[in-house]
Amino acid sequence: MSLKTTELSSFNEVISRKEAIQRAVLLMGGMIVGARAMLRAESSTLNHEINFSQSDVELLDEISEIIIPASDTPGAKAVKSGAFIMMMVKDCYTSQEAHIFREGLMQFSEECLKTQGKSFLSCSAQERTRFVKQVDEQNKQQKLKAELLALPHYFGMIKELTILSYYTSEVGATQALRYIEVPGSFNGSFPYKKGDHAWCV
Amino acid sequence: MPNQTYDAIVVGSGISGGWAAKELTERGLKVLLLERGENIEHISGYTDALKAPWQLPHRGKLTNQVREEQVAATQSKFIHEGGASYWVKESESPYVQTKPFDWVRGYHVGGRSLMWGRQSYRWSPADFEANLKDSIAVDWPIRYDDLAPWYDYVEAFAGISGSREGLPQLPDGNFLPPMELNCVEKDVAKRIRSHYADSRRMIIGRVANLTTSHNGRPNCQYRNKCDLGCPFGAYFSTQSATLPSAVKTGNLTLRPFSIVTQVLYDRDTKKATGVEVLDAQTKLTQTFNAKIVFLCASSMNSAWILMQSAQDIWPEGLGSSSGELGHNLMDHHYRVGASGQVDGFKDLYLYGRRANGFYIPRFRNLNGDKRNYIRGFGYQGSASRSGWQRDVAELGVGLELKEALSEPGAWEIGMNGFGEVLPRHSNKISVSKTKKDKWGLPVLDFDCALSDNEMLMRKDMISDAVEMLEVAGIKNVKPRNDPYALGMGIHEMGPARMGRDPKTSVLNKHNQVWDAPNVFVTDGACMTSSACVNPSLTYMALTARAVAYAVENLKKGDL
Repeated sequence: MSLKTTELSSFNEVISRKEAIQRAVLLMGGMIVGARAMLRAESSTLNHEINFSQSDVELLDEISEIIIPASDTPGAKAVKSGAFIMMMVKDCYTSQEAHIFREGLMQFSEECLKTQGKSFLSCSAQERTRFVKQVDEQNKQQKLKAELLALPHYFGMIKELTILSYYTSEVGATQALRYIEVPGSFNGSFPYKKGDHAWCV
Repeated sequence: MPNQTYDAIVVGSGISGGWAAKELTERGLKVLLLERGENIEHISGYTDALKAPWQLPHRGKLTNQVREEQVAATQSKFIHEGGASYWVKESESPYVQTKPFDWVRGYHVGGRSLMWGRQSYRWSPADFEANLKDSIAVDWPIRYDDLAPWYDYVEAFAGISGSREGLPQLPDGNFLPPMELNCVEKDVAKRIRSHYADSRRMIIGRVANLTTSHNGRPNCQYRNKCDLGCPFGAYFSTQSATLPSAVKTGNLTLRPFSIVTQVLYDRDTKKATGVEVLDAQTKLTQTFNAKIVFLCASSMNSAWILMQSAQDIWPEGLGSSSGELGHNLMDHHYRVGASGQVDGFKDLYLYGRRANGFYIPRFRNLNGDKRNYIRGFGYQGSASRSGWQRDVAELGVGLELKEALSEPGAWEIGMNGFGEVLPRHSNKISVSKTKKDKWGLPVLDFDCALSDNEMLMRKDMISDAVEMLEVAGIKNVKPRNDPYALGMGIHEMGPARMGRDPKTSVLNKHNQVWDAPNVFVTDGACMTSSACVNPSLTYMALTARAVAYAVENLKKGDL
């Protein structure tokens, strides 16, 4: 919902939907997520055949556990993030996004072999953390210098889906966060102290 | 053989149709309520209403299948995984876009009263006089005073919560106690009011959610899941409010899966005799007869039915003798405004999910203010603390991320303008000669766009929002300027407008089709101008008023 620049002139004439979207994307600059959403609505292919294996699920489970580890509350692996991420890529990603994700997962394994000398699953907890932090940094750098319509980084996808998976799970929503199905009333000045958990919704 | 003859037929069961059915049955008429879609039973039909976030497979996100089949709803961003089936699939009910139009529909009992935004505002006296004053389109045939008692009447039944403000541009109503602005909104409201010397005000939204128990319905439970259907019946919908009242009279027959294909017109009596119905399931056609017909099928579909009717007399359909049927399409243009970050208030949070926000009533082109466009806009918005969805790039991975996201982030505030769209003859719908829907019926073709007046207004809608947030001390204020196509506001209005002259309008001051006085159109199709406030409350008032007139004249033998 936030735009870096305001180009009012773009609304001063009748423009077709496609043009409107292209212009909005231009206006949005580095806002990749929004740009993706717009393109997706207009032109990209939604149907795709993307297949994952059980070992992909295991790998994603372990990556997601590094992103959101168990502490005094369970971590992402406990809420089956791997299987959730796979389903989301299959059901909700465009073919292009799914392709980036698939290639990215392979790249992740290859880079791990190259830099750590072993597969991610054979790495120790410390090695895994170190490697995932490295990949996260790549993602961050790509995001910072993101050029117009740059493609999203696969690790950003994994991170986003891990967070979604965890904080909307029953464990995440009720243990790491708070959730009340029927609040019954509203208080717009509700006392808060540091450390209190956020609401799930 | 089921009964084929009724006193009255109501076409469509949304906000307007539900009201027509209630009012007609309570006045003793035997009523057939026709709905083109399936039935959704109150409470038991709301299959996603009590689901926790983790009970939705995609946690609320849209699947590719939904995006492909429900294009306009996806574009509108109102659809999400829960309740997705309420929104119409273009794969079954396509339409033609000669120019872009997002036609967001709900084909089921209750129509969009199930998923509506529930913001409920009266029009002002100036709104009814605006066309005359500006010498555009045609003058409304009614004034605020004609409708005021009917606003009172429908508010008393529906239950509208709101604050009394004494503003001429946003008349107070028959309100239940208001909801509450939150701590940040109260602070911003105070600063805006003081900076602009009370010429601008931020108030709590007026909303059809009950703040106390009302007419046997309980108060809002602050779940903010209204668009899934409320199992408490705490917001106004056909299912929660008008339909139970109509059923209670014993005078109502509800017939789902009934697509009305035309109003049947008798050229000798110059009146309608009933309607033709295509059964959406069996695809069989049959006729139902009645003394009066209320078209409440939604703006565009009520116009479509008229266009398909009495073509042997008027090739462009019943009501087309004015040359205005299908013209003057309006909506509210939006998706412009501003947002920003709020310093402080770290020791305060929200309890409960308020299904409402703040409202900033119109201030442009009022009280001596004069812009390079006519009419005006209002804002809707809210403040809240960001949650686990916030941008986390800087937080890395691991415990640090987990702990940070388990706590709320900073407060944010955003507002979105809703602007008046002028009625223009060139903004029109027509029946496509080639494209047909799943039932073999010809579909609508949309040919309409915004013009200079709205474009100029949009500049103000952005810069005024930025200015007000900055005045209120909001940090890092960013303008919002997102693309908008007509229809996206889901406030379609105008294709069968009311007026004073049959040569320039489709309906008279009682919502009767000039060419068939026992046919009434009381949904958004009847609107002569759009104002800038949400229109549903006005449809309710117009419908109740038209029914009272219809029944009185029917009893006198004048219809």
